[in-house]
Amino acid sequence: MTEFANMNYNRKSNYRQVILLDENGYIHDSCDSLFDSSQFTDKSIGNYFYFLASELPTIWASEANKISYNRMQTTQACLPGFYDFAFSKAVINGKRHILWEIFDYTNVYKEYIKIQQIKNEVSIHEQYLLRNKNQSVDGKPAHSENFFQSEYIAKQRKESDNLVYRLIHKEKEIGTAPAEAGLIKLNELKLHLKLMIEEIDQFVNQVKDDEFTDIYIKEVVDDYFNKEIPRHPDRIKLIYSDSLPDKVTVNKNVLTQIISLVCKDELNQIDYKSASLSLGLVQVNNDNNPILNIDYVEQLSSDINLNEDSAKRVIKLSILKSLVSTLGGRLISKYSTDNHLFGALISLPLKNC
Amino acid sequence: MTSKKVILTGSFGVGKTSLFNQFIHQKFSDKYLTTIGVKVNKKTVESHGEEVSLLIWDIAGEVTQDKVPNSYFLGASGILYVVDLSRPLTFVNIKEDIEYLKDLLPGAKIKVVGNKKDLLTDTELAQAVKSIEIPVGTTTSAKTGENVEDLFLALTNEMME
Ligand SMILES: Nc1nc2c(ncn2[C@@H]2O[C@H](COP(=O)(O)OP(=O)(O)O)[C@@H](O)[C@H]2O)c(=O)[nH]1
Ligand SMILES: [Mg+2]
Repeated sequence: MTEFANMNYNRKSNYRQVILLDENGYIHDSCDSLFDSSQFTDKSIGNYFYFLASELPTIWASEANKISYNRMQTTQACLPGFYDFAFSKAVINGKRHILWEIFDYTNVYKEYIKIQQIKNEVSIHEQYLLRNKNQSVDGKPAHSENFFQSEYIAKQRKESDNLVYRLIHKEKEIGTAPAEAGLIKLNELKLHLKLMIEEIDQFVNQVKDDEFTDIYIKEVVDDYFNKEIPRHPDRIKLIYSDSLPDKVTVNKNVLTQIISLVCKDELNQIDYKSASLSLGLVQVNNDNNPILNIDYVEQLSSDINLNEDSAKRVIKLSILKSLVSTLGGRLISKYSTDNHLFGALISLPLKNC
Repeated sequence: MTSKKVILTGSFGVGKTSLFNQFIHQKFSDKYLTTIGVKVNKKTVESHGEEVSLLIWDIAGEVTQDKVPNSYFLGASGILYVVDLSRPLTFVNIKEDIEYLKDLLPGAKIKVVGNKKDLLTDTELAQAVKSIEIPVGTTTSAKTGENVEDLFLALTNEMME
């Protein structure tokens, strides 16, 4: 059990474990980044992980070389969150093996659940509205009294600054508006939540690719801005600090996705005065991994109603925060109603090669 | 021991997780907690004097079955297609869904389950069942536990035929 341990697999971010299983489902090797596998070596792995008991025969029988399963919840105490699994077949020393990759996305998927939960509850409410609308003859307000009493949403409401709740703060309006208006609002909300979920999925898959390459960072960021913001060349001021070298080893897709999540939506809005995105590199003492700092600041016009629209953006930031933490980084959000400021400072450790 | 993979599927909020928890742990909660992926658990039952271990998959509900990742269904011997008897929109796609599942898993046993029967009067129940385009195999209540154990046992017997 040494080869994988020595691989030092993603030790910085610690969100991935690789386990090699032999033909009988016994653990042959593991990097043990997420859990100590030595407790599961005496029997075939399916005795401990029901999911594997169910899937190993299928994976062997399948013609595909790689099979993935996303958002798995195990019953094992050593894996208490949400994970993506990938299984690849390999022949080692003439014997068949399966490489089991585990990606720990617990933090990310906790955000995902919140959004999915609201989306499902909104959909169920929508179904009741539709039914009532079809049944009501006199066009009276139609709403399901129970929906917004749901325990989950009630709990959100108690947390005073809960942003998911703020997003649906128009509940009363939705609940008592004539069915048509309520339906339109619900639909908007659903679409928005759906987009957020897609963004999470996209990001999670890109992180998994794990393709760290040397890139000319300024070119990549310039390119991204030229492509995404051709019509608004001056909306965001790009600042490259002197500390930023020409070449950086980074997952290019992840980098552009972070930038996109932090500032893209806002490009379509007209209500802010100015914004800046600064990139710099910090070399921490006694640590070989440099840190990439991405700093986004937006100065908003004083007359816009922050509470209403910013909820969506701050939710987006909290998703990004969980994504960045999965990568071993940090996100500090800057959000001030008084100073009309919105932004985020992201510190991302770069791969040590 | 024989193992069989069984999948609970259907729209969201119909009671898949509740049936799973009722069958495995004999527990029910009124609280709705969305499932976002997959949870697998095991329960051993007896069929024709033989022990069978059921590997039961509780998956996230989707409005139509073609949205469920195909990998989930690989190797499944049994499918419980759950609808909420109190929400007609959870069975509007049932015909297409069942055809899709039959195509995907020609050898699997598929059962349609009408859940939340405790919310309906006998008349409403009969009406709901009649309006479902595919014959309903069993009506259950994950809340009271009615027919839940029987549902899994009947499916096991069919899978073992
Ligand atoms: N009254 C009643 N409520 C149920 C029943 N089964 C599930 N529920 C409730 O319906 C909601 C959705 O159930 P859940 O099992 O999470 O559905 P899933 O999305 O299909 O997994 C929860 O609030 C449950 O408490 C039932 O048989 N009777
Ligand atoms: Mg569920």
